[in-house]
Amino acid sequence: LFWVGVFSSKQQPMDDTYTPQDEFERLADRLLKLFELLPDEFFKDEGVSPSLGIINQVKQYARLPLERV
Amino acid sequence: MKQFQLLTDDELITGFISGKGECADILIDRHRNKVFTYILMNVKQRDLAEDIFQETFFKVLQSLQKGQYSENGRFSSWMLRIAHNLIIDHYRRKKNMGIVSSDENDHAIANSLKHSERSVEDQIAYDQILKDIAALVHLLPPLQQEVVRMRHYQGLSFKEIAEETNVSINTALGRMRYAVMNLRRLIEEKKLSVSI
Repeated sequence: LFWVGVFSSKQQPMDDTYTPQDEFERLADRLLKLFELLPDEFFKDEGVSPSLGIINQVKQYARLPLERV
Repeated sequence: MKQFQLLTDDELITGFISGKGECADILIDRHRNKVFTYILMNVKQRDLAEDIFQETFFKVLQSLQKGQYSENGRFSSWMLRIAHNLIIDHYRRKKNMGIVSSDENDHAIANSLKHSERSVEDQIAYDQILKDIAALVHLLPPLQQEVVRMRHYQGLSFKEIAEETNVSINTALGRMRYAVMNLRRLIEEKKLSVSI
């Protein structure tokens, strides 16, 4: 239920230059501001986790040496 | 490991920069759900969300190692903004297929929400920079050229690149990382005015 209101705001008035991409970015901005306000602890229970494989790949990546070119 | 759990984000960042891998593990575990949930709610496809999640942490870790994080106490917001810019950049790149994305401009992405907006003059200068970079890509080792082309010119995800080239996603990410580092070095050698 918490998320129901997130995308419920009215769409911006359309004109010739307002595109679906603009609308997508407006909603993404709105969601970003909301997430910034929410405490990190909230997502321990309410958030979605990436797969274990992806998490492990990121952790492995964190241990790669920086200067090997 | 338990003692690290008690550290603040800033203390973990300091530990990671000084070479303690466990600190990175805890940072990733602490923030993964918030970042991934934000990405998934925007893109609504789990595979794509995981790809962008990886790229987000790829940039976060690189920026930390380079000392580019300076927002004390706001680490979570900083990561979300990086994820946000990667999402926007992904869809703009798809829209303008064939144009090199600015998403390797990690420092600018990390610090500017509206990084992709440019004036006409800036766009002309930027197009010239892209041409310069395209010439430099030819100087990279073949495997690094391949991953740059597939990622930026063909718009493939790292998962798709890994499948096409029969390597792991980690290997594809690593090749891109070294390609970017080599491009930076080439740009410095040739004294080009561009930040990648």
